[in-house]
Amino acid sequence: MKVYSGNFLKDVITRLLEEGYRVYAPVKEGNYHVFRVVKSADETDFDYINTKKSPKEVTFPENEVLIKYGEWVEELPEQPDRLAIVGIRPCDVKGIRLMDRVFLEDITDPYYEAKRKNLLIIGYACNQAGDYCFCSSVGIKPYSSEGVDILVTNLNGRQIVEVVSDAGKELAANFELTDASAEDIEAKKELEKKVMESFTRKVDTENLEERMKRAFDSDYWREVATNCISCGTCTYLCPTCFCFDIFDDGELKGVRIRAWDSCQFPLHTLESSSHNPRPEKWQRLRNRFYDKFYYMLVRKGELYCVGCGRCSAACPVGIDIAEVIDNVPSEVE
Amino acid sequence: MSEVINEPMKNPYLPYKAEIVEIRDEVKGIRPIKTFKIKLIGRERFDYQSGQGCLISVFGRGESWFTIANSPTRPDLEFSILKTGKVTTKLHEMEVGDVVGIRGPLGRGFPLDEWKGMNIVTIGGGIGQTPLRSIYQYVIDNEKDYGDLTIIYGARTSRDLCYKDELMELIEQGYNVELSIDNPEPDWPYFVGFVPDNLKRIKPDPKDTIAITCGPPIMIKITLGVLKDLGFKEDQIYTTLERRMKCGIGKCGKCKLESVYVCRDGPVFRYDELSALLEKA
Repeated sequence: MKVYSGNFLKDVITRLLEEGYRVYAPVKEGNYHVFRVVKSADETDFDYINTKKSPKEVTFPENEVLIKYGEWVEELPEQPDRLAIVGIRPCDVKGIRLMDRVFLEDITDPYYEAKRKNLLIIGYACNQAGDYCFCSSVGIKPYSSEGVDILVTNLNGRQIVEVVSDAGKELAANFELTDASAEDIEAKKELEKKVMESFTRKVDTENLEERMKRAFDSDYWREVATNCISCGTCTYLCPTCFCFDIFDDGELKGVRIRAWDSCQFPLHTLESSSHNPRPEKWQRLRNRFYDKFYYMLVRKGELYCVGCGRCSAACPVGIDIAEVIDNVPSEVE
Repeated sequence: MSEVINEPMKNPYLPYKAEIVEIRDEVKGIRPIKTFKIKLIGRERFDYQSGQGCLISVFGRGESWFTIANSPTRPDLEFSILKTGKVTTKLHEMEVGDVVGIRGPLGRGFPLDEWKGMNIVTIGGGIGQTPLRSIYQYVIDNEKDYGDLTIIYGARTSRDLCYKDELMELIEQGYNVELSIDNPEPDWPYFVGFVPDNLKRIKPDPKDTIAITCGPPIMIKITLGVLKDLGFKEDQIYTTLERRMKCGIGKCGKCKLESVYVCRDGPVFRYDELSALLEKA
């Protein structure tokens, strides 16, 4: 554990930009923060609990050209060779690690891999849980350094720097860091305890797989979906929602694009025969909750929810993922 | 700046360049079906299993999934394509010599090796005959490895039957081909009624037999019931599923059925695999 006397997050951005990195960092826009590609550390603002949108677009852009074509393939898009994200919260780091399992396991997705293998991750520990946060319920510590190259913690106005990976070590060598004192270490422990106590939401994941299994045909899902308008805001903001569409833009000359899609849209699964495996909105809503809390658990052995609470915060009809999962009936008729 | 690998073998989104070498009309009218014979340009045909699919690509229109319609024991690749959307409409306008893209082979095919020594019954409806054709061609080409072959196939009308010439030839050669149409037509010498009813009439013996069914969802559902009534166990019954597909490599999530990707884990499934899922196919 090290201490930096200045603003490490901002200074690291300046350094990375000098080294030619494409840097994603939080920028304040209106009342909220989002990750943007920044040209200067001055654009950034680190006074936030979390960003409105997840940073999944860093490795999985919302719209991404796969192929430029004319009569045949003309060109493949170049991939950035130095990417960094600065200020990412531990839940979103876990989100990237879950995305890795989708895009890199089994058949490798070369477009994702090209960005991921060159990505430097500078994490930022949480000092307080947000209104909708429940990462601690899904096995994530809001001060975790898992998966980052460097983790920064704001400790009473000073920045604590934990260097985690070799790439992080290389970068940190450019900064004057002093060893943390025993007092600092103690204070950080206190802070971690305080953060854990700041969660107002908890989700009961005890025996969840079995509960989900039993509740599949329950009317509960119709009830939860009553007010749902299938807008897809939840999947759009979610750090682990990975579904995408592929389409061609341009008849004689154009680009084959992949773009985020949503299982909440009827068109996502509509077949040309007019058959739709999930024609009802409650089936689509159920699909999202089952994918996160059952299907991916079966497939990958992990929950595909990181407890960031973005979907609950932004849902226009107030569907709250923590509440929905907590209330999954354990006894089904 | 590094570039994404410029080779279809390494970049699974990049199609092989291929040429249409033959087009046959299977069904005419408002829902036409054509069979396209396709040759890869500049490389040998890839190896594949019956039941596997490919994404056929027409730049400017997009890509669609089709099951390979002929057996890997035959040369070239054949696809029988119903004109129904953007890509298929364009394909139906194409001519011999036109270029398309091919990504494949994709997914899991039929375990034809496991079925050696067994009797094979295929039960198809309409365009669903496509993967079954690949099976019966394979079984015919490896006749000594398999028991009896029964081909049960039906369509709405006699004009909607695919591979008519081929099936007539098989009947002439003495193969057991059981055809049906939904409603009576003059001079129709075969069964009149739905495919599951024809199956009920034929009553294949479940002993040492594998049944494979493909067709419209409702036909598959009723066929499954009939097979069970005849004594078939779920692990003797196979089907291939259709879903909307985009990536074809188990990423994009469109074809996801519960925890399985139809494009990657399927499209071929044994029935007990499907009945174990919460979400029904």
